[in-house]
Amino acid sequence: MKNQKIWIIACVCVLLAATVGVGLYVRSSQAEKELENAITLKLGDKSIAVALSDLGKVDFEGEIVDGKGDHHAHTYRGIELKELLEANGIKAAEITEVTAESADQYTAVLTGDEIREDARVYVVIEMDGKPVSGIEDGTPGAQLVVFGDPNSRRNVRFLSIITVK
Amino acid sequence: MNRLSARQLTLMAFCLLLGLLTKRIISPVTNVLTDFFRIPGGSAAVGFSLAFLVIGREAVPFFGSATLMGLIQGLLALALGMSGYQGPLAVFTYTLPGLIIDCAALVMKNKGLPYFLCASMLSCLGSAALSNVLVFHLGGVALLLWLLIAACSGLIGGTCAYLLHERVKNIVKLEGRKQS
Repeated sequence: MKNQKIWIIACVCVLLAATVGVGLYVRSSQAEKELENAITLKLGDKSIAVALSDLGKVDFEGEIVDGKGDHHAHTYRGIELKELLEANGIKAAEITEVTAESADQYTAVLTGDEIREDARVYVVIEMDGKPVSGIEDGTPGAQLVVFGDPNSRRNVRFLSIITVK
Repeated sequence: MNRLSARQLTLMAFCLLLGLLTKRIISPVTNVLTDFFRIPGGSAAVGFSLAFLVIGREAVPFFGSATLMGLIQGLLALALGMSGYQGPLAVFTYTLPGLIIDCAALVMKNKGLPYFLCASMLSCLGSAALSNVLVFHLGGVALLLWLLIAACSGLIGGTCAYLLHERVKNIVKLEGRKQS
């Protein structure tokens, strides 16, 4: 009877330890995946996962206009969208349209000419020295910034998918 | 074929309702755990629900009583909108554990702690596996975690069922003698 109880307790301990171990592994691997595969670039059937760490290429300053027409100057860290697309084998010269989609399904459409224009469209990961937030509290994310627009409607927060045509 | 008495039917109804309600009450707490691990909720709470089915099977020791309780639990869950993502498939995921408990009771003659643990754990694993096949389609490590949590839940539920059964078995037997 005593042996039986010891066996049961041992089995329970092993099972609990295995559950905690596998749980923490799943949790950490999912967190890494979320952090690493921040943005998906889509071109036809092809999907390319881009890590957040690949987006922090340059620091720059720029001015955006909010919904009320007020101008705001910010410092950013990020990468120009055409550079990001070129780095992933998508030729900017052949682009006709780009759709940026957020994690909460907000979308903005950009023309090929806007993409090709210098210093116009960026994907940023930091604004004014602070990481851009992801859709979940406390997680880092990315944001589309379009300079020269009369408002910030196309500055897509929680950037998730960029579809290229 | 033995007909079930009104007392036995009442006990079965009591156990299946308690199981259903316990799952509902425990779910918000266990969902904290499953949300942390980013897997669907449910597998962690199922052990507490099935604990009452194991007790019910002991109170009404006929093959099929746990299956019947599971089936009615599934139909009730469906009727009361408690089936979650599973929808009508909940009838199957609630019935299978009952069948497993009946089979475990048939195989294990000694109804001690090991029986309660095995019956509860196996039924939880069966329920979790069937839910995954029918609804969630988890794979790899996530599936392993889903099953491990179900097994742990079954162990905890089985232990609770054993402790509870030890306290109420004399009362149930006494009531049975009084009636006969």
